[in-house]
Amino acid sequence: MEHEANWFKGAVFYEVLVRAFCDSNGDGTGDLRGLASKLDYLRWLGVDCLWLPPFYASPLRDGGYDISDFRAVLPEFGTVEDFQHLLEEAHRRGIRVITDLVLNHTSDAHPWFQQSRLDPTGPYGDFYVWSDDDSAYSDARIIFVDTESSNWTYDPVRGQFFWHRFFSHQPDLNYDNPAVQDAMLDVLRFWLEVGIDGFRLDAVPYLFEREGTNCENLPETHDFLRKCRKVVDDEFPGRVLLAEANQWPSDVVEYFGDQAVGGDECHMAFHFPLMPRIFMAVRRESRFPISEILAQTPAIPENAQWGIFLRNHDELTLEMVSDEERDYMYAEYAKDPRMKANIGIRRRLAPLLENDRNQHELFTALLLSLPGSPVLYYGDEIGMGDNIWLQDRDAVRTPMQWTPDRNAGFSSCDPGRIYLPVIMDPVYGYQGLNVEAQVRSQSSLLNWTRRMIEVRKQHRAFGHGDFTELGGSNPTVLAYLRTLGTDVVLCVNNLSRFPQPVELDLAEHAGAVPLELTGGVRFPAVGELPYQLMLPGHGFYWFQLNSDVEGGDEK
Amino acid sequence: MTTSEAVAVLPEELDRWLESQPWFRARGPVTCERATVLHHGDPALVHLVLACKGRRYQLLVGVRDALPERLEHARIGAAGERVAYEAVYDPELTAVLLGHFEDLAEVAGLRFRGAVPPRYAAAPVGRPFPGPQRNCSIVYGQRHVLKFFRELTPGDNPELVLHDALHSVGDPHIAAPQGSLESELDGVRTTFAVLHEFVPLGALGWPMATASVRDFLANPSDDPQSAGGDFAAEAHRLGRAVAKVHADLRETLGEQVAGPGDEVEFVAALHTRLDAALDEVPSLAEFEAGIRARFDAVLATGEPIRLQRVHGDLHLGQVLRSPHTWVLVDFEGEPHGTAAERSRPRPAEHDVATALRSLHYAAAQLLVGADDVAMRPKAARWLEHNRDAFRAGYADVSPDRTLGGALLTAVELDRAVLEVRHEHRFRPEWMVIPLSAIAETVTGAPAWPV
Repeated sequence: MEHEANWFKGAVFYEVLVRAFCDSNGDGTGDLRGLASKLDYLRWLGVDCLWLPPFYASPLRDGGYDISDFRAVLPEFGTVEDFQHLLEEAHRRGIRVITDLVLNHTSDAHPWFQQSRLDPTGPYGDFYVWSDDDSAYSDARIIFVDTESSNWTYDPVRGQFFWHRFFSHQPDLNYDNPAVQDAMLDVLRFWLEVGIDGFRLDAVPYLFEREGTNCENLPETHDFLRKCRKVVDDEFPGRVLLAEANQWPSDVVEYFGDQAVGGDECHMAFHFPLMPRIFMAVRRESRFPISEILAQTPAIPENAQWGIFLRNHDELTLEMVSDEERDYMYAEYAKDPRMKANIGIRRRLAPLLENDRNQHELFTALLLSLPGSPVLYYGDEIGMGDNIWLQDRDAVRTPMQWTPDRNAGFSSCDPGRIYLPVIMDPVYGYQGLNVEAQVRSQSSLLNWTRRMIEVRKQHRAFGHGDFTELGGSNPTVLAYLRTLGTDVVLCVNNLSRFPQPVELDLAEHAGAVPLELTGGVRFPAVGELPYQLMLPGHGFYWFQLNSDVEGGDEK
Repeated sequence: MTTSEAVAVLPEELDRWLESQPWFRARGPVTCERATVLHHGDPALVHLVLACKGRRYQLLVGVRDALPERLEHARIGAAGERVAYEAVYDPELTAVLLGHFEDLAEVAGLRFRGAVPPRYAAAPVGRPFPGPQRNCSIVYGQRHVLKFFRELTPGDNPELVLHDALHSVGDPHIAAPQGSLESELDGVRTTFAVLHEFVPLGALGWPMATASVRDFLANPSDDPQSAGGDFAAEAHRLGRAVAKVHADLRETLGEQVAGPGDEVEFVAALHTRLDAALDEVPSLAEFEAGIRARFDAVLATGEPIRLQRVHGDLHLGQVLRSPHTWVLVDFEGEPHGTAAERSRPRPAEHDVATALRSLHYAAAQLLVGADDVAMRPKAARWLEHNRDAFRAGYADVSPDRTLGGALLTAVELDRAVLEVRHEHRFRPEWMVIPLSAIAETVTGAPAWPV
């Protein structure tokens, strides 16, 4: 694809599970060829970049994050050639593709681990973190508290304990061994040569272990990320690295690297705490949960960008809220205990919002206008539901609903063979809720979402501009400016379910005639006095504030 | 233009204009005690000290050859060949004021003092804070607030004294003071204006609390915690902030234990204020005995009353939620009090009581004039939930201060009596709110509206 620096800052990302999107060969499981066949839909929606969770060979005990061969594709998804086909088709449509790479650990089925446990003195003997007892690094927290009681597990084959920050079938790689670092850099190169546009680096804070620390965010981890960045910059310019570091923003900014050089580690990082705060702000009808977290978010390097999301394939992540807030989120959004998993909540966006279209639109408008590149989760653009009766995180991983036909148009297989049942309940069932029906209806959520993405792309300020919160007289209204040169966009969001007035200090823009971006209606000019707006319950406005520019053309 | 010429420009319509201003409470002939030209030219800026019936007011007057349309709303009247208008609406003149602070100017005994942080960009435009208020505040961009006290009372204003004290120990719950305008009045150093840091992105506690009430009343659940707009976490943080400010005021300005004579005097003052209210408001009579008994209970406890400087008029309209924390504003003390009254040490319970009373107003305000009986118990539940949270927050910071004894009850009743009197005069239909609080305290039974 054409090389465009910082393309990721203006891109709309779309997280899609290969397994769940489209089945091309009728075996009941989505595959790479199936995904490739749906690229026209994604281009129509306005997606710039696909994010695929891992599709590598794996015993699938952790959704593919337990990789047993970094250079092979999971057979039911296809082959490396199928992936190349997907890349070519996507690139032809101007869509980029990034995927997860798990740096921290492998599956215990990976040949490296098998050789490491069998032959402690062999070439892979030192590829993992082995110890004679389980006492080291006791300050590291246990992440999967529901299933794991220790970060050490005894291996009877080798007669030693191995270190794992996640499941006990996912031994951590030993990054103190230079051979491990080289082997992983070669994995990076392998896929970049195939043509991938970047990686979401999974679980990056945990690469190294040091006694007396919590073994997160260590300086050695940052050193290694700089090595990864150097490979990208020197050998594959234009590709991106996205850090998955579920930490406070003040810690996460470290993963962008040196501010002075515009960032020399990851190009992007997820802003985790923002998402639960958006939910809390709307429930509390107060802008402060969002204001607080954005005020605590440090500046990031010139060539870096946040990734923001409302939902993803994991839970509504609650690690980054205080205990009090977590209790509150549980009470509000997970009245049924089955909806909880680890310390998150297994719901899709629409059911979380009780299928309230107004809230769904408000949340989407926030996602598309707050600072960062939005990451949509497949199916949320049509308001898909979830199935809380399925195991663990499968609740939000059901097949994409394309048509009212058999298997929701996802697969031609025998319905009994499908990897997870399609959603069939009366509200979210595929017979009524599917892409085909929503494409036809001008008022559908799908067409609305597409239109909003289109509007967003007409203003570079959304992706590349500064963010300035405006405050205002009404604490239930969140108002901010996105500014890039002369492109000034005013976003006003009513977090309350009731109609609200707000007075905004726009004196700096006196004389501007606000132009509403979705309909092009001109609002009364900004004067010397506070600017007054009335918003319906859960309503929002996007205005262009430039006084001298006609229309909403790209600048 | 000399000072005497400035006096000469006083428009004839000034008296009539003053009478139309809500902050001008004196009635009678107005004399100009002092006129100071702060800026010459067109526009010119003149500072006036006016006297009327023993009260003193200050006024910033702009004078122009011709008044542009955008300033027409601020017109006071003709001043000779020129036009006089309220200067705070003119950004050209508010910029002059900020410039005087930056230069630490002294003009005819008006001293601009302070430490305005240097600015690196163009001067922020100063505009009056919108909406009716007792004083006149000019907001400069997102940087400063300059508050002119409309009415002048000789002496240092508590706003200045308390802010300086709290700032000296780094209290996080105030807007940092940046300067003040001083001059002599009756030979006494007097605060004319204060300059503060602007608290960006703030919102007042009142609209936050009432948004929460509105949400809960519209919610089918009876549990205020289950409503989305639960305010309790904010009330808790607010309680913490008030306790921290109180602790810092004790640390900087001291605390004293009232002697037995002072206690008697304290309780006597409660009775005196009740006497005045009873004269005005007949419907208060049925609660008189109950109220007096609770006032006297303060003396019966044997607990010493501890006195310290307090905010003095703390309510949800005087607390600002910033993205980081709660900020208390307007430390001028009780409105309409004399300088001595406003600077008098009081029990910390005074602020707690007024804050709790304000929560009651927030809970009940939607019920005034509404017939929906079903709402009443819900509003009561909201109030209890948030009162508990506020007090728990206060106790978190100051566990040694017990809240809820006879003193707090008495001070809350005192405040409610004051509210009854005020509502009786100006908003009779609202009187039911403080009356219901009194009734509930005295009879122990829930009363209308909550």
